[in-house]
Amino acid sequence: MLLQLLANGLVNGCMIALMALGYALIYNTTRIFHVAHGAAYTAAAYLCYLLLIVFKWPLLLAVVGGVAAAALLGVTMELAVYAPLYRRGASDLISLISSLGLYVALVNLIALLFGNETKVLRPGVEKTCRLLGVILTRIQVAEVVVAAVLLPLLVLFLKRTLWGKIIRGVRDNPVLAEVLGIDLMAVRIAVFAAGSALAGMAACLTALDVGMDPQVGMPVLLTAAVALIVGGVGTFEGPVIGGFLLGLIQSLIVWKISAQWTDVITFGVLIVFLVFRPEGIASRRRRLEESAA
Amino acid sequence: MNVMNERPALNSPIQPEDFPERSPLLRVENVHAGYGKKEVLQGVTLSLAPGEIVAVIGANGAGKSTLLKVVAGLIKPAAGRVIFRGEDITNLPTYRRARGGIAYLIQGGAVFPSLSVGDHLELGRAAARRGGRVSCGVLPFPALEDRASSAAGLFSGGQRQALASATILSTEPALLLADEPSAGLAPAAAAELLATLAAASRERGLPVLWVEQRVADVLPLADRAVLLRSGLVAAETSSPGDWLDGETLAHLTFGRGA
Amino acid sequence: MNYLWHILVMISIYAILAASLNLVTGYSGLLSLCHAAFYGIGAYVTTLLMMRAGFGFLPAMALGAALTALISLAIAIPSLRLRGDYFVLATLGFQVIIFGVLYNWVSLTQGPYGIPGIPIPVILGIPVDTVFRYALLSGALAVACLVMIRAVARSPFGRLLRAVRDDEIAAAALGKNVPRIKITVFALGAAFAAVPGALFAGYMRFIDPTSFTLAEAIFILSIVVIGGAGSLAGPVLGAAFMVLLPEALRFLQMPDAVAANMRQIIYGLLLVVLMRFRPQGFLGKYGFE
Ligand SMILES: Nc1ncnc2c1ncn2[C@@H]1O[C@H](COP(=O)(O)OP(=O)(O)OP(=O)(O)O)[C@@H](O)[C@H]1O
Ligand SMILES: [Mg+2]
Repeated sequence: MLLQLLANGLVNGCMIALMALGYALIYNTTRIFHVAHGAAYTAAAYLCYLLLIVFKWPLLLAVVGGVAAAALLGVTMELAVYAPLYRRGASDLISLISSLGLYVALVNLIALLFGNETKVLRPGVEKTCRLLGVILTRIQVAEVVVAAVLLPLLVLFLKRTLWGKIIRGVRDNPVLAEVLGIDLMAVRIAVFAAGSALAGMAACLTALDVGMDPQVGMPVLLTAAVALIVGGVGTFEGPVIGGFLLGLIQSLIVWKISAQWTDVITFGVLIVFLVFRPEGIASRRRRLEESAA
Repeated sequence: MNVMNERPALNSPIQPEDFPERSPLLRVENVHAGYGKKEVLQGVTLSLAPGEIVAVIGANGAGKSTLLKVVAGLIKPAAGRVIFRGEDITNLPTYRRARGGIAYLIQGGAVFPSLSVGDHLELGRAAARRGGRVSCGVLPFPALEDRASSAAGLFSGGQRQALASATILSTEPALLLADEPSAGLAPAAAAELLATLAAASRERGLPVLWVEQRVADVLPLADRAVLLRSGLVAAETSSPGDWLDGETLAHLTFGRGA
Repeated sequence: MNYLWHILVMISIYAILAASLNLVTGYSGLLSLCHAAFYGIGAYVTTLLMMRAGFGFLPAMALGAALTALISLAIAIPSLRLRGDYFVLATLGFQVIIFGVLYNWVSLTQGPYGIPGIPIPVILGIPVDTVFRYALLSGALAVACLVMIRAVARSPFGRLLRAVRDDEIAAAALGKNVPRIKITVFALGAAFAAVPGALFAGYMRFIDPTSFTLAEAIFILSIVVIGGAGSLAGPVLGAAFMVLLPEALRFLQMPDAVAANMRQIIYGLLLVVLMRFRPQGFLGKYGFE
């Protein structure tokens, strides 16, 4: 029972961590509270549904399509909405309100096109695998494998490569980065593409596992944002750690209390962290004058 | 042809004869610029010849940093032009100017707090599209010794200033805009940093537009000096040493005195 | 005719909601996404006090407002010390938590089944039992709330709010206790939001958690933004616009299922377009800068 619980928490944590890392890429670099990231998630799930069920594409291609759709949508949002605001020097509040508007408009467009009801991508009983006394469906195994490959690679990439340093540099001090010759707009487009693709990946896998409705994006986005704060804003390993922690806590809630209290307790965790450790688990040491900001 | 991409190699200092009609390296023409509705620069004209160090002095709020920001491209002038190597760069974005060799040392020692010294140098060269690497060992900044791998966020103010200067120099710029590189340093360290920058400039033939509050330290190092007062060039001299006597300076700066 | 009075009731409810959020967001620059939670707490507390403790409508409403303000402290005190983004996320979280509690604490709120049979408000011995009378009641309460909010905005405290909004560091440097100012205005906004909650409960005579979702919180925020943050008339105009918009769509004979989504698409896009070209909204004085 405990092992099964851990396994479910792991699967859940993998998806939260993917979403949280994608969100962190965008948030850390642009400082935009990108709520519409949740809409990119939803759009990916629905495109996957469209390709798989309506157009009868093979599974793998449908997932690729969903991921590409999310990336495209993310970049479009940056080019059409955020970049003009950034050039104007608009405040963070303005980007946030725009993002809320984008989220509402996109999600309702999806609901208009596909209907409000829950959709299942894999009707029937999924084949399961048994491993060390734990039962997982094949999709769940795929979720773990994808996360196990992508997460360490990405975190290492961001830590070690020049690209990762550029992204961290832009996050630390965008003006200095630009003055040194970095094309901020190109970096922003890149992080929107990569971050949204990660959301798309999490969305397609989760949709294959448990289905979706037009409203799925928001709770997933919020959980990712909580994972980012719990793990440590400004880092890239933080959201991954936070994601797994939340995954475990959530499956513990499902087991011990009731699935209905998941959201309440997730945000309870957030409030606890805001009170006692607002810098998160993994955040680096800072000088005082920085943390005051 | 786009001059910005065709830069002479670093070790062949730019010669005046590279430029037809002996045009200056940088020319700022009648620039008006400011923040929002507030106009700070009200028609500044100035030029800088290859290899020349020009000191820009003036009271707090005179518009010195604003002038450098206009040249670096962080502020678009409301009127006037900026010409670099004979090309009008008034509308060129900041990062393209940086890749073309205009380096801006921001006031206050800006660094990337989560990156190490090595990362700064790597990032600086890559961003400015310079190949190869610079090792920290060769940089003339004693403040950075032994700190090569720690995150800049934990540095002291002086170490940050040194790192900011080192990062800029490592990008092998064609023009340096230095905004009070010595601010916040202990007097000895400040004098040392100024001497290091001046030596680096002389060695490489690197022209510098140099904003400095430590007038007595910078004037002897400069070829020319410009005095900004309320957004205008109030005075200019090709023998900056003449301004060193305190009375002249007070007169020039505040419009009073003898 | 009843249709017109119904519209008036709805505009009153949303005008108070928007005006109270405007106090927090427009005058103080705090973007809060949990106003629907305060609205819901007001509705539930008023209902429960009326049905279980035999309170009259107005006393129940007043107590509801006080309790809502108290509950708002639980979110304001930990999150207002932190940077703006944390505060937004904390309010989002609070909204989700309150919805979860309303939905899952079945013994108190009857959860998803909702509470039916809420008694008709009786004011000064007169039962408010027609739509016309309800329009009078809600109109009167709306005017009262708006007058009070205007008084706050024009008081020295209101000036302090704008000072904190426009330059927090300067205000702190002048010795103002910035966190306390923010917490106070947040609680004040929460108390005012409880009033339309009570009005809504007494009008519908049935409440369930689905009226107090995050989507509703975003809706209230967009009324403020569209009408114009930081102005006195903006929230009223915004409320009228947003309440009339679906009616206009109905007039265009759009099927109801489509109209619901369509309305949201329109206001979502409106937010995006306004932020790009006119961040201060139709009538606003504050452009979120
Ligand atoms: N970001 C800004 N927004 C609005 N006004 C600004 C901004 N930066 C500078 N100013 C104003 O522009 C004027 C010139 O500022 P600038 O920074 O160019 O002065 P400076 O000569 O560099 O002064 P200092 O020696 O103190 O660095 C000042 O009056 C200042 O208040
Ligand atoms: Mg300056």
